[in-house]
Amino acid sequence: MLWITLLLALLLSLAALAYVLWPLLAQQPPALLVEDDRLMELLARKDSTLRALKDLEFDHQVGKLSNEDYTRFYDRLSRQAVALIGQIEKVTPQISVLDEAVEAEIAKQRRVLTGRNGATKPVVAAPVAAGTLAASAGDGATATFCTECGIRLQPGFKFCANCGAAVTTLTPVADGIS
Amino acid sequence: MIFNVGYLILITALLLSIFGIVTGFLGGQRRNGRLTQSSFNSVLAVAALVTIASAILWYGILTDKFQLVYVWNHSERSLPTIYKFAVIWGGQQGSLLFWNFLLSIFSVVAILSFRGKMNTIMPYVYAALLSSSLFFLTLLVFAANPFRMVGFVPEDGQGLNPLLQNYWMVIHPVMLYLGYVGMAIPFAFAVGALLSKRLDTEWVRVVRRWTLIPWMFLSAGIIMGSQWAYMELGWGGYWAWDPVENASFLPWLTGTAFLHSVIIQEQRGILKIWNVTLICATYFLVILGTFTTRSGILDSVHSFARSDVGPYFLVYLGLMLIGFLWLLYTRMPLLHGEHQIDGVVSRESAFLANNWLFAGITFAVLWGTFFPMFSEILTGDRISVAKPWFDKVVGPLFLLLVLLMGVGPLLGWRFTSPSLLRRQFTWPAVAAAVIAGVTTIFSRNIYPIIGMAICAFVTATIVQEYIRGINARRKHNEEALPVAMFQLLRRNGRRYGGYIVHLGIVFIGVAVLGNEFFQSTTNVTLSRGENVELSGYSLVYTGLESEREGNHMRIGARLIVFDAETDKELSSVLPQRNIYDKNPDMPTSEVGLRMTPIEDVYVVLNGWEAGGETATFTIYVNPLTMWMWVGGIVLVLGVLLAIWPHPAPRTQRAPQELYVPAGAD
Repeated sequence: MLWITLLLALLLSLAALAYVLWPLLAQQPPALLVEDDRLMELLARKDSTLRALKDLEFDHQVGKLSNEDYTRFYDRLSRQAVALIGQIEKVTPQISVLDEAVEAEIAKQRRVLTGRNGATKPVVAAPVAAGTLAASAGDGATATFCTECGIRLQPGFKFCANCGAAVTTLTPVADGIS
Repeated sequence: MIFNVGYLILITALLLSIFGIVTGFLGGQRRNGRLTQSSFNSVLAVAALVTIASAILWYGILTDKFQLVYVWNHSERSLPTIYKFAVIWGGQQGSLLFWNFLLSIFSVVAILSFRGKMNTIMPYVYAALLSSSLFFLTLLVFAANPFRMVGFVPEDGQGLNPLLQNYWMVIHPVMLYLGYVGMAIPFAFAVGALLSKRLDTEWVRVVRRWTLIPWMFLSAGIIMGSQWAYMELGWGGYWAWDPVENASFLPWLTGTAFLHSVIIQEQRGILKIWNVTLICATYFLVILGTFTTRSGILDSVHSFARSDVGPYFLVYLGLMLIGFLWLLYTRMPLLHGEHQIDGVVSRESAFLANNWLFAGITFAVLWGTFFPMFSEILTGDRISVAKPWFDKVVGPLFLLLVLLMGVGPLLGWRFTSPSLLRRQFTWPAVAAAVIAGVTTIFSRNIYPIIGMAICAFVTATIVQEYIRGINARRKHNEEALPVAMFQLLRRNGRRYGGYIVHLGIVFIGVAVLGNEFFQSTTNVTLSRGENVELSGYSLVYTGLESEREGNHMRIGARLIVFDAETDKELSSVLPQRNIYDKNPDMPTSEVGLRMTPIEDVYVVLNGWEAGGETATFTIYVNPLTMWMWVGGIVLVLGVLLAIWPHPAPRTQRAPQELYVPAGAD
């Protein structure tokens, strides 16, 4: 009886121990998520400023703020939000660069559509989602981004570490439009 | 034997929690994915082991394994099954295991819901949660083993404490435990934020919901405890400022203060030090309350759970205090406010005043609760401060707090101009004046007049807030009335759910005022057929009734309640005494109650003579008491509205995280 008790306790304990030790012993560890502390703080501040703006607007709508006070505080909070967004863009230049690239892509698609006299046929894009987009970063170097999720890719990566999309460097997007 | 397995896996859980604390801490410091994942797995593994251990103890209780000392001492064969479930929290060792079980469940749900989010803080959160678990596992392994056995198998157990054999006692402790244990989650996040130095507004924003959930359980637990005291203890009231009641009330006070002050940190980026202090104080008070009720340092009707775990609690409390002060000191430069308060007449100021009042009440209750201990240490005599002291000191502070509950929502953030102030306050002030006038008809005492006026004022502000909110939505979004109401709650659930919580508190306040200032009572011995009159009621005693039920005998005295003026029969009440087979010298009381929204007729059977020819009663007429229970339900509904997930505004989120292969550090 004692042996069975000990065996059962041992089995349960070993199972729990193996589960706890597994991440330390596994050959292929899970990808570690590292946060950019500065960026996270700025984003949190931006979110909180936007929420404050929303509350301000609601307070004004229900008559708790006069028009003058509303305008005064709205201006102040808007300035704060704009300044925070500016700082966020400084911390993450690739986001703005990517935005510009995406906008350029949309502009090109529009030009194609306009060139066809507003044809209603749907425009089919190339499978850019599974590729990468090269964009010129602020410092002049060419940075590579995943077009699926927008994450900057490390040189030599074959798959995006974030979303798993295959990395195949594509020629400019316009070439892929039928 | 299966019970030895229970004890052995508790030892494994203890060792794994130590391991998980180390890996969590190192994982956070080195930002190492493997260590962090291992700590995460430790939380799950400890939870699984504690759950298995709890299941083994429950099995022992339900199958009457009296060779377990715990089951022998707290259960019996004839105990109804529902109370057998409750046996696990009916005594010291079992309740500590149950506590750890609930903590494990809470921890698992919390860490799973934050999977992949807040990755800088989370490793420390795992470590902090495991450190709470470690403390309780240490108690279970070294001081309060629920699996200890005697060398023989006793025929029957000694029975559960009769006071606990009541439906409210099946659910009330569970609610309180959920409230207590749940506070470990925001505490762990506060520790995580301090250790990781991520002290921006993000942690308070995400932790608010995780504070509201235990707060709701704690509130419900306190109200249910009051209900139990009202129905079972038979002294005519619901709150005696007993040390155990205070032990649950203290973390409620600081938790409530925290729920308000985090809103200011979220809005304005101020009060960072205050917020981490409040939430750490809340969990500290949870542990302190548990310590006071289990160590026996304070006399109480709840002293059934005394034992020798006191020193362990003291060491843990000391470690918590030193650790928190060290963290606060080293993180001080990161905790400075980002803004100033713009105007005195603003919602921020109202919130600040609210926090001062909560702090004041907490201090007063703490002082009153621990005064007998201090007096014994200093003078050698144990001097207790009783209910009148608490009522006198805490009552006015609560009145001010309720007033602020009405004033705060009328003010806008940052600044409110005098003209708008007049517009906001007109109708609530009129409502307050009318109710004050009505109350003067019933009482010349200034306190209930002011109290009722304040309750009316707050109710009017809540109604006004809803009307203005709905009107604003109708005007700006052109919505129909029901749609506007629905959308208001859906999109601003936090604010408008909060107002419903306030309404619940107002109802409770009305009940307290009714009981404190308008209660009437009499002690009387009646012969069969004789009547007594009190506050417009006439009660006629008709005789004794007895009934055998499971493990006890019920003996009740029937009284018919008439309207004294019209002689119309209103109802009958049956106050009872329960005499338990295993504890015949500890009869419990069950009051006879006629409950209406206006007042309760509340009868306690004190005793009888000559086989029930005469019986002695204490009769109370308690005005407005029903509103306390209604208030409790409204409060819970309000919290549910506030925590219900509402649609987030569509904002374009930039990528916030960068992935790198693990082990790249």
